[in-house]
Amino acid sequence: MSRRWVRAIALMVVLAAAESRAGVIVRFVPGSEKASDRVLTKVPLKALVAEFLDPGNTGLGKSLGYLVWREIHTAISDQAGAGVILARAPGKVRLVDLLEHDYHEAAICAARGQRARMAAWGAVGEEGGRVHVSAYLSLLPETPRDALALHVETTPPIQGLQARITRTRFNFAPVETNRTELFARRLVARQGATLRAEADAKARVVRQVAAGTVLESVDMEGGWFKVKAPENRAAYIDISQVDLPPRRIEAVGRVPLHAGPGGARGTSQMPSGARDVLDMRSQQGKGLWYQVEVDGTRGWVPASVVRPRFSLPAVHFIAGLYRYQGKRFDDAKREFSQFVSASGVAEDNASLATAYQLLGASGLLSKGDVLALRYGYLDSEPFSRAIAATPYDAAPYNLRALATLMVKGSIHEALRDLERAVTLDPTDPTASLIARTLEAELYRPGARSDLRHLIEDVEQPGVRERVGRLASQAAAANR
Amino acid sequence: MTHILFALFCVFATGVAGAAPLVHGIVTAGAGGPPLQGTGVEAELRGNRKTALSTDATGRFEIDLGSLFDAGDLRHADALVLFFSMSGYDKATKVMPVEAGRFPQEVRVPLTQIGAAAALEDGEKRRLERYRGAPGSLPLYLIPYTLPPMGAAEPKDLNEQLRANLERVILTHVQASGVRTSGVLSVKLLPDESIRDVDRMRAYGDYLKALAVITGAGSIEGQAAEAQVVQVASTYVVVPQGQAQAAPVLYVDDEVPASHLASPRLYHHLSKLWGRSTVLALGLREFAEVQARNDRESLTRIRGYVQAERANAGPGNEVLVSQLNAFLELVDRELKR
Repeated sequence: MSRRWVRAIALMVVLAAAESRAGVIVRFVPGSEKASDRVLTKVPLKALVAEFLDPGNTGLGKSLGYLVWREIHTAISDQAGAGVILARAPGKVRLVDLLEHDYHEAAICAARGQRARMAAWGAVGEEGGRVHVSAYLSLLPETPRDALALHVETTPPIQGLQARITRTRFNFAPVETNRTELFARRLVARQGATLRAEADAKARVVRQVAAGTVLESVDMEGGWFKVKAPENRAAYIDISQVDLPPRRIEAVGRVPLHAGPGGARGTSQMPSGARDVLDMRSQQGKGLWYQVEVDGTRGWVPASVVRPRFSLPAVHFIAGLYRYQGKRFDDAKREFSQFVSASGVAEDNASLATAYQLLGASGLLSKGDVLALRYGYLDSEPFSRAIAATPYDAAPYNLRALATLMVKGSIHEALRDLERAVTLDPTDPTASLIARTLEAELYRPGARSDLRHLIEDVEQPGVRERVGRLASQAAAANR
Repeated sequence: MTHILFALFCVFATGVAGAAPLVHGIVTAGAGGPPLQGTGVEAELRGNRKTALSTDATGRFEIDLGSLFDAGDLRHADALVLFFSMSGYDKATKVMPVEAGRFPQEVRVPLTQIGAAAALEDGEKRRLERYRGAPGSLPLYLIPYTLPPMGAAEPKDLNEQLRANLERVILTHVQASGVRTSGVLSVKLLPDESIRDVDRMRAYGDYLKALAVITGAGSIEGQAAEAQVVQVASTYVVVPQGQAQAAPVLYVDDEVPASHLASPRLYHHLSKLWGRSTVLALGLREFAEVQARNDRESLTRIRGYVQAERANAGPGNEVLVSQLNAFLELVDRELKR
């Protein structure tokens, strides 16, 4: 299939964990797919970002690939063991010419060669100053089946109380934006950053800038940002020489401003809503900080209390998948919340439903255990929203049933969802396994399962029969 | 031999919406053909399907939704689905969105005669020959949309842009659905053709061994340039390949702001629907191939991707879901044999 692409591709790599190197460049040799062609070999959780297809030859395809690659990197910059790989076509070759008709398949092929779990890519078009971006994501089939699952863990262990998020390929809703929204942003120079007269590594050096210098980007050309240089002249800087803060951050409620990154609190506050990011710093032991301006006063806020808003909703979705697989469920909740609240995402109901499933699961998992949830409240709304978005999909019904069962302690309510799931997909064993487990743990003669203490309506009339029917009905259909 | 009769007529945003739940319509033999008396009409709101009536001697019908459905269904419905059946014609389904309790008032339903095949002349065949796909390929053909002149953009350029974008969105949709195709799927433009007749489109598709044929037309509504809306009527015809069954036809009427016509937004309107229709077309074709040899493994795989396609359907996709359900039942029957 995409051997031509695999042969021609060049890879640029950034590793997110602090101890790793950045900017390693690797090139495949024709016909080879040796282990030495792989990068980030010791990083277990990684995604490959391919440059975006650009059928109109607008030049935006390469830039968007770089931008998404670096925004994902920013989003997961504090997650050890995670990394992002950029796959780009060499020189001025357009990826669209190399991908031919393979698209998802080619992206998966390239990601598989790098042992990555995810492949992100897209397509871009420009018309009348408006930029139209479609983003796509493929999860590799060999991703561990349990990586995107919701398990109920008990002591002693009970097997079978689990449901999975099943969708693996996503065509996100198209985004309509413009160059300013994408590229006009602040950048923070890294060590040895060089401004050049053109977007070319051989172009004349305009000046060197010190590490930490904030640069104002106005546009992008390939992998180069066009920035404002002294005396209002334009200059270019390679994306690998800058850190890339999110363009904007959002606060929910009022957030105190600090005098410096990790510094003392001031009296000003950032109100609810969005603010442009003016600077970004990482402080040893104090995490990542953003600088914003409120009513003419500049101050700093910790990244942990605000939400970044990246260029494309897909970046939040992908970052959420990193966080979920890395068992950082609070962070996953934040990213999936950002995704579902982004404008226009509902145009693709399948990715929206999956985001709601993962948001609901992250919410449950972030609490730690069932008792912590039991004395709080069950937020099953994300699962209900997933059902509303994809009412014919069995997966969100199974997930909501598990949540209802364990947190609300209602088997009667959970059964309604399990019965619906079996009706929708009799070949999916999930509801069957849950029903069989419940039958064994709750109704088997002599059963002494602790599960009985958690579920309040076990003996409600008709419930036992429904559990038995569901277990046998699903099992029969499965044969 | 099992038959499935799929004919699908979707109309979005047709007619003038009004508060009174009274729907009028006319059923004809083909677009612009004679009225069809005695066509059975059924109506569905929120999953409740009710037998309504038959068309009169002029092919017309009138449905009083208030007498068929309770107030709750009328208040909360987001789509009205009408089903039409007439002996000798493909069954048809019309889906009309209901927004804020406002129901469509007037609908037109052209029914297609079952098995009506148009014969191609030798000249047509010679003209089409150069567009034939490579052996083993799975082409869909785009007959150029008839579009009004929009600013600097030439209709020819718009159609090439539409073709390229449709190809990508259809292929990415099919690949996201997990369908493994036996050949290379592509969308080819038939630049010199302007046919709109479904039978002839099928005949073209049949001659070119196509998976489907797509076309459409747009007309401008509204006066002021900034308020102009283009009514785009599209047709997606699945081309049957040897199976003794009618293949689906999908009609979509849509409104696109004129400013979007020359932009990539045009294909966004069509992408999901065409992608889903292509998955169905691929499923039907593969089903016809494996049914004869009772290939259970392939049947199970077909079931898997059709099931996945249904799982991705959102609200307002009742027609798609009913198509997929019918197909799933068909596959299940084969698996149980």
